[in-house]
Amino acid sequence: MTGLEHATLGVLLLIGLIIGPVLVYIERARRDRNLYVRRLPGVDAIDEAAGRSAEIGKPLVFTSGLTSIGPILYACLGVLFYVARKAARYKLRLLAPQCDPTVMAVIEETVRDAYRSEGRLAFFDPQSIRFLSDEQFAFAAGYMGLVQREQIAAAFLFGSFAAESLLLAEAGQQVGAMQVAATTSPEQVAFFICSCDYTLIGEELFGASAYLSREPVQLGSLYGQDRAKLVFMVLIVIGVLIATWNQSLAPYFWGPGAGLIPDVMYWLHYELWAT
Amino acid sequence: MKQWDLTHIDRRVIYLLVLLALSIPLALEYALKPARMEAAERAFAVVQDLEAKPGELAFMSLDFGPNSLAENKPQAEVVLEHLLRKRIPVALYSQYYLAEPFLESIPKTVVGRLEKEILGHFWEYGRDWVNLGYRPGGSVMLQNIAKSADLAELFKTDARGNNLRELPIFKGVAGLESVKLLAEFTSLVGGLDSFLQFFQKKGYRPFFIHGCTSITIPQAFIYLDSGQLKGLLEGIAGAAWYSLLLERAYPQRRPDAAQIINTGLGVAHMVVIALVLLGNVGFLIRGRN
Amino acid sequence: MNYRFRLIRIFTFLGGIYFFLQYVLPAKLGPFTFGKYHEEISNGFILMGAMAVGLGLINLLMVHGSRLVFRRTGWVNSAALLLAMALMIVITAADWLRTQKIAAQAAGLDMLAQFSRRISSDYQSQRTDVLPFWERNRLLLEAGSSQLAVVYESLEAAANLAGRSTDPALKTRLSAGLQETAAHLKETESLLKELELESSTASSMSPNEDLARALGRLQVSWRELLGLQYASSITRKVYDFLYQGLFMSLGAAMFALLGFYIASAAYRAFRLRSAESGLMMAAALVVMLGQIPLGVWIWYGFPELRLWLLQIPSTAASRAIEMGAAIAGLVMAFRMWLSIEPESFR
Repeated sequence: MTGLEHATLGVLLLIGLIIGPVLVYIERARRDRNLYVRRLPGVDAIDEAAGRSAEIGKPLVFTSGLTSIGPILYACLGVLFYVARKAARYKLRLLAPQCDPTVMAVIEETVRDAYRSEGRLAFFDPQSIRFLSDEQFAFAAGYMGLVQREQIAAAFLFGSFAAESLLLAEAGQQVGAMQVAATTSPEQVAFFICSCDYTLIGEELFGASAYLSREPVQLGSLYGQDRAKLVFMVLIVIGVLIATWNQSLAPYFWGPGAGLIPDVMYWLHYELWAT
Repeated sequence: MKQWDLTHIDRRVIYLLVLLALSIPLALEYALKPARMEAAERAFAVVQDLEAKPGELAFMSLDFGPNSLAENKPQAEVVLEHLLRKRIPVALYSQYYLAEPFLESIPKTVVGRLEKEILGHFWEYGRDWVNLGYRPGGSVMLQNIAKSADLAELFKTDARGNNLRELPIFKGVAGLESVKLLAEFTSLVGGLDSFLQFFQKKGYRPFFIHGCTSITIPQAFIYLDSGQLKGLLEGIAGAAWYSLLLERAYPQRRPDAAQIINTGLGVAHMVVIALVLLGNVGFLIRGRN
Repeated sequence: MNYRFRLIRIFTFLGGIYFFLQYVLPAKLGPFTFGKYHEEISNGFILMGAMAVGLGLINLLMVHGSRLVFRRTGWVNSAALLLAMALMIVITAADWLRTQKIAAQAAGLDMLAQFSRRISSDYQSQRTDVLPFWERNRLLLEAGSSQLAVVYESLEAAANLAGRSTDPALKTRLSAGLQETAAHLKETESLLKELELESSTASSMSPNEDLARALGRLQVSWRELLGLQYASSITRKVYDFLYQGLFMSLGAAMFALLGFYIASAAYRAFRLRSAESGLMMAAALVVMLGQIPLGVWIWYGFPELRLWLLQIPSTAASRAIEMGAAIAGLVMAFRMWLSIEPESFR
């Protein structure tokens, strides 16, 4: 579009195609809460981990790693709320070491709300929400020490992680904790798969929150995201077919560069999508 | 008997084997010919074909800390060396505060090596390279660079306090279109994405070479495949292959540490592979019994 | 509806729309510059984030302070942490103040250089709303003389330090710095004298231009010399020990732990339990052997196979994960912008 930067008609259209279904399905979920979400094995393990912690009498740990305030943190809060409610219900110790002070404040509020919703606000200990360090490896060292000292029964690693992911996961593994991890960083997924009992990959982190809470806004978002992915899949298939036609079949039939399809590709690339 | 159980080798034995595998080649300074890295070859070709007219320069962003020094430092050194050999002016910059010391130490090391190798030739600060220092702001700073019509006005001074307008390297430099090449070396998550998204303007994007740690190679390959990255140095292996290409292009060049570190890493890889195979042999034997 | 929530929603929406428009609108919309104060606004957000450090500090003091005061288990470790934190804060603050002082001292020369340049440019553009150039040159000379006296004093201090120092490397660097600064100082003095002689005539403004350049060179060399002097002080040595000796080295050591942990995790986890795990192991072996020198010895085809694996299946899978996560992130960001929150988080 003339005048705008980083925005073309195509990009704005795409944003509409992504956000539109989300808003529609949020409304639908508010009317009908029984929208189907497939079972996520790692999410079911959360109940198992909490049960294990109750049996052994050792604490649970929930960490969001290096996640800062943003969409990923909001996804983690849904799971944290569920875990904290479990901890409140069964009077388990929940430790939440954090890397970011602002995130720590948000986490504290969420855990407090969870305890309040179970009517166990008196059992909430603000000191269980700890700021370790905003330095990546200082945080990892603090977490590892905490895990070793407390001999935790279960660990939940949900959020953004970097190189320290394996250090955190191995620390829990060494004390025999049951670990459930979820991250959107593909490069850290491999480490979690090696060291954790269950791993949620990519946007399963966002789905976990909806699956656990059955909350209309989250369910509707999940449905809307899936429909948005359908849009992308259709676009990919169309793009692949056109590119294949241009590369292999069109020159055979009409000579190089000829035909309607190359013009369509040109318009799509340079007029509709190019920023 | 437990000590013959291949599925339960003591962790400490594994750590000792890895320690020996890494340290012996490094101590002996033994270098094997690295494996061919096509992505690093593409990066080499980009720099080899690069020409910078007066008022044009290359931009190098060192966004790594002491943690990933072993992988990112050799990458930065080989690319910087190549640019300096070609007399392409380089502006060094960082978005990560822990990288600040490297913005001086790395170019000084490379320049020292070059001046020893090519007697009578000098690389001068302010003409051939400049240290713009650590600039906070992350992607906001990158957006400002992309939107700026006068980079000297945006940065104002270098890390040493020199007014950039006084330096020959910035004579005639305008906005982003004066930056012919961007080379970014990082271990930070999100660093590459910020540059891809924001270090461009309408109708212009400089050539982008990226140096990453081994963990983020699959992610970087996405952008190499789409053409947004023109070259990629894959960890220390990429730096070692680039170093070899430099030796071939400039025969008088002495080998550097990249190939030695790569050899040590290769031996450690073999140890890990051997342990995995041993573990599986033990697993299969146990299953059969 | 609660007014607090309403206010939060309004501010969230306004903040989001501002950054979105700033990104998509061009720099200038006719006479209107949309992002005129963007840098200031962004700096404001960065500052707010930096203030969050205070939250972390309070939490550390509460957790470890109470453990120390009530002598709970591990109080010695808490004491060590608090002591280290206090020491680091004090030393870093002292280092920062000192480096700011050095920068401020050197900035005086830079201001004089800019003033000299401004005198020249104003004269050439024939500005009449400023003092006459000879009056401005007189002020420049006064300020320049007093500033050079300060530089002289610091040269004496640096020379004393070079004389006392037992470190040969520092001695050499200080001597070189002294020589360079002295040379630039002499050059600047002679240009000031030349300016004094020619300030009543307006034959050319080149003395001002030359003086500006000389002041710039003097500023750089003097700043380096002051930095060298500071580098030998106790504050700087303690800071270097704590930061580079301890903090950076410990960080590198923690990162190095990963190498060992990867080995033990791979040994423990890579078991041929199914066809999928066999496929994963084969892919891992190919990628590992394809990038090491010894792999090429085993089979020359490993690098090509590795490249194919990374370019085709791995890129496809990574793209899928990234796209999915990006869409989910976009949706979540949109929800945050419009404050469409789950009821449980209100």
